[in-house]
Amino acid sequence: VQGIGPQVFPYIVAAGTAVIAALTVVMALRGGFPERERVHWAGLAWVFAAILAQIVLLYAGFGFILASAALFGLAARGFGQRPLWGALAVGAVVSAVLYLLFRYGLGLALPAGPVERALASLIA
Amino acid sequence: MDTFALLFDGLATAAQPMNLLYALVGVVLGTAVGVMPGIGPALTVALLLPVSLSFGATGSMIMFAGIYYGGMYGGAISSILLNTPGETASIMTALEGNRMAKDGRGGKALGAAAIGSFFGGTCATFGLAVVSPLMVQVALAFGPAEYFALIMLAFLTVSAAFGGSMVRGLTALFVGLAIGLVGVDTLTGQSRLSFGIAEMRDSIDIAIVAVGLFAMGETLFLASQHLDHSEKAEPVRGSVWLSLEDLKRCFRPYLRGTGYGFAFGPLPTGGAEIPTFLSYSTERRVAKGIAREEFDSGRGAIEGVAGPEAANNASAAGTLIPLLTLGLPTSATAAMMLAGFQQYGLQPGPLLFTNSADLVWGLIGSLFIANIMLVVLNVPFVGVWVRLLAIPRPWLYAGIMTFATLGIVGAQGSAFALILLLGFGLIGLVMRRFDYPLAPALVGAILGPLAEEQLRRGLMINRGDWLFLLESGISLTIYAIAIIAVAGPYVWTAMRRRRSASV
Repeated sequence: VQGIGPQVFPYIVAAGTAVIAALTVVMALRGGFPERERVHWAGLAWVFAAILAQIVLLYAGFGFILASAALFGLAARGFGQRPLWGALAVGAVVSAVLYLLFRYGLGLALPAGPVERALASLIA
Repeated sequence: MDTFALLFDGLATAAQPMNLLYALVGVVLGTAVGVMPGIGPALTVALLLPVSLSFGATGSMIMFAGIYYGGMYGGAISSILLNTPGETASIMTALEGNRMAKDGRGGKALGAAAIGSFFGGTCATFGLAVVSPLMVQVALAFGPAEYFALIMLAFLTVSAAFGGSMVRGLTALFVGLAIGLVGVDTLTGQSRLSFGIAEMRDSIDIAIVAVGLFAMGETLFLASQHLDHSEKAEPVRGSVWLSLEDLKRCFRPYLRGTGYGFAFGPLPTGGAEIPTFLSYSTERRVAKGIAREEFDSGRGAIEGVAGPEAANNASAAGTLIPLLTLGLPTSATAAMMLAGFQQYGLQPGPLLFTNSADLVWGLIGSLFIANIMLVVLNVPFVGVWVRLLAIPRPWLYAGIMTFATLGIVGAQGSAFALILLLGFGLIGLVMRRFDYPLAPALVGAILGPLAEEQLRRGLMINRGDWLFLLESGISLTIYAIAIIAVAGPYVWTAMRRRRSASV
């Protein structure tokens, strides 16, 4: 077979990326990067923690509703919502509604934990 | 069958009760998410991409098109009342629209925007129905060389059009190309760049890339800014119904805007940015009498809303021409829709028109219906949408994140997808912070594997001779267009500078 194997394209992409990297260095040396606003680390940390909490809770088998409640609550806190427990409570309601809507309305398979199993036995 | 018979069949498909329902769901969701400040149609489609898997191919395509059009309508509302355009397509609308809202004529601006969107969208959808079959005739002659050239054209122009500098655009493109490499090589079955992780052996689902870069990246970026989240929306004052006088003022801007939008939409220059800009500057230049006064005094002229709104909806329809006939996305939203097609194993292109004619024409038919639904939803019921602007930002952004992860977990069935989602979110955050455009990354991730496939297939057919790329007239023409499209603006500014220097 004539032609190129699966390794050639990655090399092309790598070479291109290297060229771009060099050009970026040139841009930096010429002072092509404008001054930027300070990062709001606290907000960013809350939102990052929110996603992380959801991932951990899902892996630990807590199910979609509890994991998403944590995501929603921590993220809302990151955008300035206080107090945290209030945001978490709203998150629990929102994710429960979303779960019921998409699980029973559209048949989407979402990870189930204790809360979801309790809901399922309530509905059945 | 001729175009009109096909179009008629398409309308019949679109008018089936279930498809009407999908269109309605699409336009309602599209408008709702489009209204939310900072969220444009591209992000809207990304959010709903995984959720739509339960609707079937025709249903979800109809829904996506509804979302695309609906997002354009909804974007106008937040631009006018909040002065926060969801994406580049609505920037021009915000200029005069927000001034009108501050001047107490917000209702008129909203009315002019909705009717302009309807006019531009409907005319351009008609154009789409007429032009697409002709494009298909041309595209049927395309082989690997031509397709490869087309993809190169898309890469170059998308990188040039977004993000101010070519280096930034190309960086984003290569990020996307690298993402596209992950997974099993289609021709040999070898796995690449998956680092022994089982979930990455099949290539990364494009929905994860899209939702991660756009939705997660955007929310992380917003969280990283010191923003005052308490900006107030202007209340809607004045009737949204246009008087005969207003319609007369809007009519020419509508026509010109539609023309610009439909002409530029199919070109790989990044969707609605250029046509809305041209439309706005034309209206500003030709304004006379009361319009002149309103433009100059900063009270806001209705022409400045009417033209760009017709232009951005017309360009949305225009964008669908290369997407459906060639499989070539020319805007971020079109790239999302291409991802939607790929979810169902459908590859847009000339063959789609022969193999899935009912889907394509049903989709085109549903666009007409979606436009009618949207103008009804947006003129009398505009007040309902405006209420959405009152949702506090923390709830809104937390809700978006919950919805995005719901879609991804539901479609992928594994929490590992969320780790990837977070990773792409962080990439998106860094890119947004340092002014790198996201659209080229998405286009690279989608079209990169296609470019590789075409190149390697072409090499096999031509027994390893690379020159096959340059042996067809069509592909040489495409390369010439690419060079002109990229170098043209530089030459143009250089020439203008020299001219103004000599004067």
